[in-house]
Amino acid sequence: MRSPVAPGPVSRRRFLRTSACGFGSLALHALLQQQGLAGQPPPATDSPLATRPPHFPPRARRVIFLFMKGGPSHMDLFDYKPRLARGSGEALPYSLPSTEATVGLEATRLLGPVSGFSHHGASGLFLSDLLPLTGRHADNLCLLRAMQADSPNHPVAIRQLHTGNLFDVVPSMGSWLSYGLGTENQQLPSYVTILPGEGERNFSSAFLPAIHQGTAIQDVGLTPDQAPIRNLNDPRLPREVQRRRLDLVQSMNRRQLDRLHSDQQMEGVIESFELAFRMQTETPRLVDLANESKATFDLYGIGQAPTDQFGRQCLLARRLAEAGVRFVQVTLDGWDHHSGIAGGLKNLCAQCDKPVAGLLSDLKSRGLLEDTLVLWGGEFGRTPHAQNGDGREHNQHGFSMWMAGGGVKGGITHGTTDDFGYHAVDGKVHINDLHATMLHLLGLDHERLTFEHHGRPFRLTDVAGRVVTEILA
Amino acid sequence: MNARLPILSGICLLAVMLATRSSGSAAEAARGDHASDSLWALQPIREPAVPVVRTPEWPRHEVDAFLLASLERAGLAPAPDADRHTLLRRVTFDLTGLPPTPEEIKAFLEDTAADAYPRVVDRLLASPAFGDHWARHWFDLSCYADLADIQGDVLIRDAWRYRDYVIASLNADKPLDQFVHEQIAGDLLPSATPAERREQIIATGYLAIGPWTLQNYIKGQLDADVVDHQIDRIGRTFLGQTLSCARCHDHKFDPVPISDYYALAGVFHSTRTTRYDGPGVWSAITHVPLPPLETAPGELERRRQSLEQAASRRQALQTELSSLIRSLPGATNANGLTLQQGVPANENGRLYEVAFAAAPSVWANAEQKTTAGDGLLIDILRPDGSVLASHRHQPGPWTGTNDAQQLKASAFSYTGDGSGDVRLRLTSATPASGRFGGAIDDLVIRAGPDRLFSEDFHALTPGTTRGEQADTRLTVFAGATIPGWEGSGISHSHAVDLGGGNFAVQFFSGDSTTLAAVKPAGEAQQQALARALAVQQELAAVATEIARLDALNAPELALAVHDVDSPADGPIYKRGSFLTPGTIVPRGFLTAVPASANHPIPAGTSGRLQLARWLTDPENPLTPRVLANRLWHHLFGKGLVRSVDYFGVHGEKPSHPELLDFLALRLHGEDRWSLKKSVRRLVTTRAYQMASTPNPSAAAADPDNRLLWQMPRRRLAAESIRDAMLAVSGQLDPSRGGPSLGLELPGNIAGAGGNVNPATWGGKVPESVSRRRTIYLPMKRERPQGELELLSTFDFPHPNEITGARPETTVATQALFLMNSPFVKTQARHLAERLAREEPEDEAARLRRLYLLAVNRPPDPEAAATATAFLDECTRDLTSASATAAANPRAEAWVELCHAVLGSNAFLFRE
Repeated sequence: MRSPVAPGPVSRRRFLRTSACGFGSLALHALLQQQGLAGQPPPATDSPLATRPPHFPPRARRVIFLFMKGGPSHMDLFDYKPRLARGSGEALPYSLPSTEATVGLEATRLLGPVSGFSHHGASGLFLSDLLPLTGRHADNLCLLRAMQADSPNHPVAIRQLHTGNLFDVVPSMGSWLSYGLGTENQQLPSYVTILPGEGERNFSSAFLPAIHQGTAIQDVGLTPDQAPIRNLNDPRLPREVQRRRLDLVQSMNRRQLDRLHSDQQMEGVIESFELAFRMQTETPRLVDLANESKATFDLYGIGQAPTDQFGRQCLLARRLAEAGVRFVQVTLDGWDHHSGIAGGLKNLCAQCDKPVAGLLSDLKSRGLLEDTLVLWGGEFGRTPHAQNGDGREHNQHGFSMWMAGGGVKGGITHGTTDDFGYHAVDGKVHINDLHATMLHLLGLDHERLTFEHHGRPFRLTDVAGRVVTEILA
Repeated sequence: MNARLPILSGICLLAVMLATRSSGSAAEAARGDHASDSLWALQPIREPAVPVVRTPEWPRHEVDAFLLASLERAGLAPAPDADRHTLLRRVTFDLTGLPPTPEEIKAFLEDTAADAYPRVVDRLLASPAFGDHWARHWFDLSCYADLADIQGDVLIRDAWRYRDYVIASLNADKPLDQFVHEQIAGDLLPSATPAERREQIIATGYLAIGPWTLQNYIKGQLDADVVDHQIDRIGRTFLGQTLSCARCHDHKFDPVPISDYYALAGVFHSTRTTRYDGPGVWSAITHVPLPPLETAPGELERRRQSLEQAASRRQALQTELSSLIRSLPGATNANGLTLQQGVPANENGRLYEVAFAAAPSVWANAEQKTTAGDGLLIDILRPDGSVLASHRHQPGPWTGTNDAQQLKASAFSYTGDGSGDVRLRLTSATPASGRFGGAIDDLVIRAGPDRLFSEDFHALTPGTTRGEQADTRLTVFAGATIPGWEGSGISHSHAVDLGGGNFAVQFFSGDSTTLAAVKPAGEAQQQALARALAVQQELAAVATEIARLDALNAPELALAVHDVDSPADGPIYKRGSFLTPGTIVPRGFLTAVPASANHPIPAGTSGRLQLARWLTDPENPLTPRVLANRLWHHLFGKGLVRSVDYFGVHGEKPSHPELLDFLALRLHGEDRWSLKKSVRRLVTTRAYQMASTPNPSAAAADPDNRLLWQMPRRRLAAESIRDAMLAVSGQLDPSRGGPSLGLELPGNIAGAGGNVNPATWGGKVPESVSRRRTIYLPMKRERPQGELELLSTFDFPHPNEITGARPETTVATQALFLMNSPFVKTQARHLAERLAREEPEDEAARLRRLYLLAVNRPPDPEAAATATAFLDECTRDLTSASATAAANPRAEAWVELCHAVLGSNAFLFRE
């Protein structure tokens, strides 16, 4: 076991300082001091990304979030329901909520699981046959079978999963972690999201300092010309000319600074240019998977048709996590199976299973799994009844996710849904509870990790959230 | 999970935590009961005495005396005056958001008159660029965007009218009290002309445009959230109060009881901002039609006549096409419903009446309204299939945003010819246009008082596929069958459930592919087909002409609010939840503000007008203080109260309280709410004209420069960085105003026409506005991305946030943007080309022009030498074998030099 206590402040760099709005940062510091938050607030000269001690010894030091966008069907993958299997094709034994849309549900019937299930590992976890390789890690999985969210609309539910909040512009969970703990590698952003697919609203730092914004990796080696991070380089200009231009900018800025004696913001600009130039050199190297072995490629399914892209995403996630990035998100889209779920799910699982299993194996073999929290799941699950005959509608009332690694019990299930998998019944874990638990595992008290904004403190879990102590190892 | 609060921003509950956890705050919270007694911002504004200073020759203005007095008390002295280059750059950016031109610099340097500077100020205040720049300050507070809904990119194509209203108002120096009244209650103000009325309606876009969650499927929550945001916006913007904290409980620090919040909420619940017509989850922002402006004499009549001619031509063509199509086998399947059994209603010479109910029927779309093409055709057929009588029924117009369609009774008569029984055939009158034709119900044939035939369609069998028709609350069954009627068309037509067991039959108008599928048999059919195809072509041309005329005549809409039918007081929502209404509270304003009693709300109105007047009541001390402080913030970098949006107990105290009151009194007194006069007052102070000279001892004594011993250096705002780069490179498009979304671009509208989702904008900045100032670009409800990434990179506010003071961050992504982004590279190239054009011969002159354009001063000798050396070295790099040899290395080196200057602090900052 590595030392559970994060090292103290490691950097005095000023290049990444943000001066936020004077009021906000003053209020923040006042708040930190008043509440004894986060040990000692970093001295004003420190980078806001300097490593900061957690509230209490953490069980995990980083998070890899495998975001299954669209809402994977839990009854078909993780939550086998014998009653549903028996009743497939029957009229609904329950009523549908009047507030939710009913398109395509006119003649709906129960739809039994579309895949077979088997027991896996010593724990005997009962998982879909569509995820055989993930099943080999069954004894590491902590299956949450009574997840709950508050909205059946994709964008709203996705926002809640990422930020805890349905509607307001508030920071994403990765931003909160970056803000609470800093990063362990000053050359890299603390929060990276790999191929997020769409707008920044779900990896936004909102009112937290901009440095905590998720950095999007936009290319994982599929298109040779695209920079992995926006504006990371200028492929057409000779490197010595770039350096010469940068030197000119820096000399102009330094001359001006000499005239001014001292100006923190302008010094910050000068240092930000140096960092940018280093990122330009170093990030492509980190993102470049070419030096990985054939065995590693095979482990993740890289170079094989269905798994190539997601395999690259997962391998890159491991590299970033290993390099000290605090929160890495990997997105796999396509789980929104409103019709033809049997075939659709098979395809998605074929893309997903090997890279995820590869990631878990790789983390394990490098000793990273014990202090890396891996989270797998979507914004909601799906209904036990059919939509358009052979698909399933969104279901936020009860669904499954799993965790593995840093500080959670392996080979267990927590929570149950009703006989059909429609509503969570016992051991419910709301998104806010998920967030509280994640912060707890990283050594942060979700009620104490706050940020003063517009005259009041905000937190990831709003006014809710309970640490799910039952699943802590 | 235990009992959860309903979805609400319950974060204010955390304020309790803050109060109870931190000892300092707890003490203050304990005092909060009497906060109104002690809160400085609520004290009446009194005319302060202008202080006496030890160096009376320094102040140029009373404002200077206040500042100098504080400096002297602290043993500090003001910085020397800024040089003219610096001053002109400063005031030009602060007033217009753009740099001065080399010509303007030259004129100012050569103008030795004593009033040279005030005349520059007047020139800048009179420039339209003033409104372009200062409107952005307003939009930072009012959450302007061209799209609705916090998640989607839902089109609100009329938002630009509000944007243009704000810019025009600021440029016209509309008094700020009137500006406020119009935006909160313009629709309730009297007006003299249609133009004024339009302006007043458009102004209420202030309340209508915001980060609404239009797809919130819980509509009571949506309404409560909209009202909360409106209260929050007004609270922060004008009052410097966080009123939202009182949504769930009395404010923990400030004198705002929960009853005050719901007194204001009653005003906004009595105001219609969004509407929900269902089905699906989406609401829409309220649109209000604008009264038409006067046009040239005879113009409207000419348009009407052209439209009439085109419409009658179209009808003739459609009727011809209908009959042609019916003569062609295979062409009618999609559209018809024919009664199989004959009806004995054809006695020779006898008059029959056919009565029915009918309605237009249009799917949700970006343009939902019926046109002349939406008619129904009712044919009376002889036994041989020939038409005995035909009636084309055109249902009334429907704009598609209002109520469920109504079936309206109608009737026509025909005279029998005695050739046998008749059958009925129902089809769309526009078989090939692709639109819906309409719905029909309760069809009856009468001869005198006798009812010979009736069909109410109650006996139909709904099909298996059911959907909801947007905006009409009609449940639609596809594949419905009606006993007795031929079913060939019914799978394409729909039966619609009107509720209570009542159905109607709805007709598609089909589409032209049915013609293509026709296999004509024989000469006659071949001719008919050829003619039908020709008619179809002509129809398309006529339709285009009609669309053009329709667009000219279309009612113009503004996003605007209006009072609900029955304005009323509302209840307190216990714990902030609309599901637990409590005591009703009378509508009103903040009880802690003395002027609140001056503005009783008359029965039958929402109270918005009274709210607007209360905000600008001379006895209300908050609004002038907050607004005067905002002006200071924009010109001096930080407010006298740096927490510009919050003047409450936990906000900052003013650094110069007397000065703030002095300015607040001038704002609504002497300056009569004139923004330009107030701005002029501030920028003509000596303090504003100070240099940003370093002063180590002052910096040690007052590191935050609260006493203003120098003019703070500031990075340009994001939009000014972009606008200035375009201006300097010569690419800035000076055109202004009008729509910004570029809907004419292919792919720029998505999701239109479904019955669930509204139309969304595809996100492409149209070429027509892409080089305009930032204020005229389309704004999404997220941090600007893609082509506009510059903005969010440099701290442009999120359009959903009320941001009186933007953060100024310094992060590596900004450096990456300046080094590598296509935007900066492109502008550097344009700038280099411009310089080569303007100074083709002399490189020294070219360098001088580069500096004057970009940093607004000539290069000093050292800078010139460095730049020249760079050009030489860079030229060598670009010529050398290792590089990809450039065609014209010297020209490329100039591009690199321009790029460097555009990325330098000298360009990015103003002193």
